[in-house]
Amino acid sequence: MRHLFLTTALTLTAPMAFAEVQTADVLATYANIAEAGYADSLATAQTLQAAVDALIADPSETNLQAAKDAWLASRVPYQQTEVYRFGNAIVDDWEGKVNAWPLDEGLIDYVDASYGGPTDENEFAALNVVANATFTLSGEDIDATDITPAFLEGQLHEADGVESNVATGYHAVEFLLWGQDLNGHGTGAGNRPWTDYGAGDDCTNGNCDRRADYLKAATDLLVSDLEWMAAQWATGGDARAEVLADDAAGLSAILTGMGSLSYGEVAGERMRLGVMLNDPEEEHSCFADNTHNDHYYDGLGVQNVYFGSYTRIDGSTVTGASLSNLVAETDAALDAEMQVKLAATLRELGEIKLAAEAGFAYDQMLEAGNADGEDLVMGGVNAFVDQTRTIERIVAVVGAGEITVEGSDSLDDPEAVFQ
Amino acid sequence: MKYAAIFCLTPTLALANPQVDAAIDDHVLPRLAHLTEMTSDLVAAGCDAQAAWEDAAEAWIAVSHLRFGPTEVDNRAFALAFWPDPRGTTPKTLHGWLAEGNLDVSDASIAGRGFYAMEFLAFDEAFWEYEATCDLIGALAEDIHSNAVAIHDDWENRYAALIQEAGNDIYRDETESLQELYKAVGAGLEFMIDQRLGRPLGTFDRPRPTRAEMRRSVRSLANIATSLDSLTELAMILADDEIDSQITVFADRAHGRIAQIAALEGGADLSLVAQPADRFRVEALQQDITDIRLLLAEQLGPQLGVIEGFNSLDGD
Repeated sequence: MRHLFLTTALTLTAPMAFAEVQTADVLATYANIAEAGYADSLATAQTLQAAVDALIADPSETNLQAAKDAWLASRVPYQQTEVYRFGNAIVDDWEGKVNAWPLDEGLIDYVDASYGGPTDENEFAALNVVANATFTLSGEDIDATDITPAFLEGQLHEADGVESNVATGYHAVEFLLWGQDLNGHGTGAGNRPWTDYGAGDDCTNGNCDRRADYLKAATDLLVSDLEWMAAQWATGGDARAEVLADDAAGLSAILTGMGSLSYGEVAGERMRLGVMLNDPEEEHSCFADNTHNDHYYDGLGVQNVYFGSYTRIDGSTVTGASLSNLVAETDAALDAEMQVKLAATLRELGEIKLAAEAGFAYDQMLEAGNADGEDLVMGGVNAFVDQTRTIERIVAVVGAGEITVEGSDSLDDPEAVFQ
Repeated sequence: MKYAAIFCLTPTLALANPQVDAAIDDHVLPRLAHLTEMTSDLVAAGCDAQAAWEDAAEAWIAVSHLRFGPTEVDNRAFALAFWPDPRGTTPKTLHGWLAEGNLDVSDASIAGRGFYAMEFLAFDEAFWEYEATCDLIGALAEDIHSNAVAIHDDWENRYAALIQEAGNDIYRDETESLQELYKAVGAGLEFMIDQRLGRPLGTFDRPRPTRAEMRRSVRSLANIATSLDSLTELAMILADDEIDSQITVFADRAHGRIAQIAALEGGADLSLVAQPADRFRVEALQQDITDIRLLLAEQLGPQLGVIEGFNSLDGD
């Protein structure tokens, strides 16, 4: 709905003509960054896939750690693509398959007794499909003898229409690699033993074969989903075509993604709520304790699309005409304001990241009465909210057609600008 | 030429805008003042809080769309209203606090505070077996009242001037002030469509009556009426007469639908969403509200010269 309304606002104006920076070039840069970002996400997910295969073939502490390292690396490019979500229906409709959160992990595998059982909202919060090859779902008998990608995405994901029944994607894989984080507000991530994938007598917590089948199926599905999305942004892909089809709608997609991710999603849903609920399970990556990076790379992704520049995982860069150039051409002060605010946000997110990496875990920041932690997280929230105000101002400038001052009717009828 | 245009576009500093003035003086401030009166009564009511809670909750619903400025400072509004709660955190938190006798709520998780938490304590028997329930009701009422007063005072002493006398860093010009108020109406309508109505509706095959807002106190439908009245009041302050008359037509239609639903069994708590024969009435009400939202987007926004901005509901 948001996208519809923003698009409506932007398409009310006459077609825009720019002296130097062409909107079509800005949109092409935006699509190129998406193409590179999803290609990098795919490549790092394939590395994860190889590591998972190695873990299953030869379970060991070393191979589990290698898979975890590959998962962490895969999050770096992916989080930077989140800025494409809210503005592009193709991405938004697909995103729930790969990055759904939060999840009732008891759906997937064993959990600690403190987790509890089924809830009012979710009958299947403790289903444990790894341990149960057959069960009943909404009155239907389900045969989960073979845990396949098709089973995960077709039957288990969002089972019973409950969003927290997350069966696929990064966070399902994260849970299968790390396990529950039972440290509460203390430091330390989930501590799943490698023997959860052990063969024969090595196997801990039962059903190691089925757990491995699940991990393999979820990882394979993640790779195929990312393959699909990377193709949408390549030359000839639908997502690219949609962005390039219409200047106003394309700019709306960029700005909608920047604003919605900054404010409603990351500042609100993911950061503020966690600190106000004092709940370590409100961490975005609660199993791996990687939440500080999730937020940081989301913030960086917003910068990338504004500056029209993305640094790839191999160090090369994708750059081109940018929204920043476009805004600067009309209103240099507004572009400067945006730059200052984006820098402020990344600084705040950087402070959270460095504190977490130096040992002050994100779980600790969320603890009730931890004033320093609250200040850190709220610093990020406030910066995101503040940058959204400037994004709105940019929408207003683009939407009101103020960018084309010359030859506009604002001289004859100043009121026209406000209509 | 360019200078002339810019000059025309620059609003005179601190020139009051009549719509913004009216929105603050006739809508925001009186409704917030009413909230503080009701929360004061809630404190006075002690443990026998049901009636006072209903009045205070109604007063909150009527301002729940004003999510900017004073409500966001110190996360005051979050502490007043944590809903929806898809993971059932509120009852879990309350059982925990009651078991350990925790009454120190002012810096505690928002899941256990505010109107929605207090509804569990006042209306759900499952919470009456604890010794501390009565004391916790009192502590929550105090916390609610202090947040309501803080929001009201902050508006009166600081924020009303900021938004009415644009030309500051928050509201650069009166268009930004108007936009803030316009966004509040839009966000309130969206919340009604997606949450207050959308959550219990679920899907035809899987309706979710237990997800209705404030169903324990049977206020789910009443909240729709309250919110609709308050949102149309603000929209009509912002709009011209022609749009006003259209809003009136649309709002009357929605109120007619609410009256029909209220007369049916399971209407007041919206549990009739699970009845195939009556469910369509709630869907129709949702469509009525959507029609108002579209009317405002197509006509009021352009009339005010403001764009759709972003709000806290934009995430998923």
